Amino acid sequence: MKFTALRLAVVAGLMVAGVAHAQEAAVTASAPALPPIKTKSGVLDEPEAGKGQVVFFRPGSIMGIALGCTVREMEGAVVNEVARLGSGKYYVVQVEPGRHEYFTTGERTDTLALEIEPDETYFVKCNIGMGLVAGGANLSPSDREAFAKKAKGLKMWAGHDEDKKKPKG
Amino acid sequence: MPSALGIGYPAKSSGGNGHLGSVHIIAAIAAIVMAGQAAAQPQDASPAPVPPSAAPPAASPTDALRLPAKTLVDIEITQALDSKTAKSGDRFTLRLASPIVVAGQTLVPAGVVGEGEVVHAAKARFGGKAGELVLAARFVDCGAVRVPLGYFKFGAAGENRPGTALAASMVVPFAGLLIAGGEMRVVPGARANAKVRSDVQFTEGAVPACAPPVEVQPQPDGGIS
Repeated sequence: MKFTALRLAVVAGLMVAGVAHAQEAAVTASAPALPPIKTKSGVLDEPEAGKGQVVFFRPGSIMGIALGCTVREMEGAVVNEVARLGSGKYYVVQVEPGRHEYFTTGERTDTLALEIEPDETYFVKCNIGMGLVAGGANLSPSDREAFAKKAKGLKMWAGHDEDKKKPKG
Repeated sequence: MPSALGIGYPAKSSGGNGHLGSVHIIAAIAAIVMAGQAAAQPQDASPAPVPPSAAPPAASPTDALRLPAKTLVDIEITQALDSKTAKSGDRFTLRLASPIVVAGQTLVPAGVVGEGEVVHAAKARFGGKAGELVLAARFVDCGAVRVPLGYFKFGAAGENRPGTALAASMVVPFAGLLIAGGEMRVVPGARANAKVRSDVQFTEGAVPACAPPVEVQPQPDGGIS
């Protein structure tokens, strides 16, 4: 009787040890992943393989609500419009690794240079700053945490098609 | 104890309940251990059997002297930087804060120096625009070997700030970063991390030749040691 009880206790102990070992191994087998960032438009994806990803975002604010934040980049001699952000909007672009200089125009031109590495995501915040006459958009480097805090209130800009659909007049 | 477990007792096809119970317990223990190990495997892992001819070759001695790309390194910025005075293209000095160790061998000791570059700098402006600094690590020199660096991020590697941008962040300042009067300042000693940009192959002779510079200490009498 005593031996039977002892055997049962040992078996029970081994069962617990086996489960604990399995759990520990499962934890160490996979590295912890960053939690996905959810916005009003969906989940922020990883960059395309071999490319960098830049997330431009403009938190919702009454400040400068009537002003736009249009992000541009020179491609040779051509001015390329990268994103047009209203209040509470964001936009994601896939870019080739290397140096990129983005700028906005307004009362004054504001420029931000970034050095993009492959498979990395960068965050750029657009603020509407005060000006002597009208104010203007400012681009500033930001980070994942700052974007994640605002993400739930951000909607992705639909691209140039979004502006075409707006009624004129 | 072995008698309690039933281990060592010869299994018998017939006999008293004690012997059959021991066999059952041994079998149960084996099943539990095997189940535990099976559960520890990732669900999507389905390793295919590798024929002997396709087995990977044994690691060569030179593998131990190869510094792989994307190796994370700890660096320390050794000069002050200020968004008010810095300009894009300015170079700054940095050094390795921790040795780079591969396969148990120190390939690059702590203290070796290198350079970084200011990618972007902007002064604080009227209207609430804060100063900005965007930096990049370029390389550290290990004797005659240059280790190219990239993927610069503020904060020591050990702080594990995943997903943070390479730029000085106004939202989450790191140790070594000061925000004074709207300007961004990096103090000497500010920690950052970077990654090796491409594979670097060391030779046997290069590793011991790579030593951090000896700091010259001035003597009170004006001499140096």
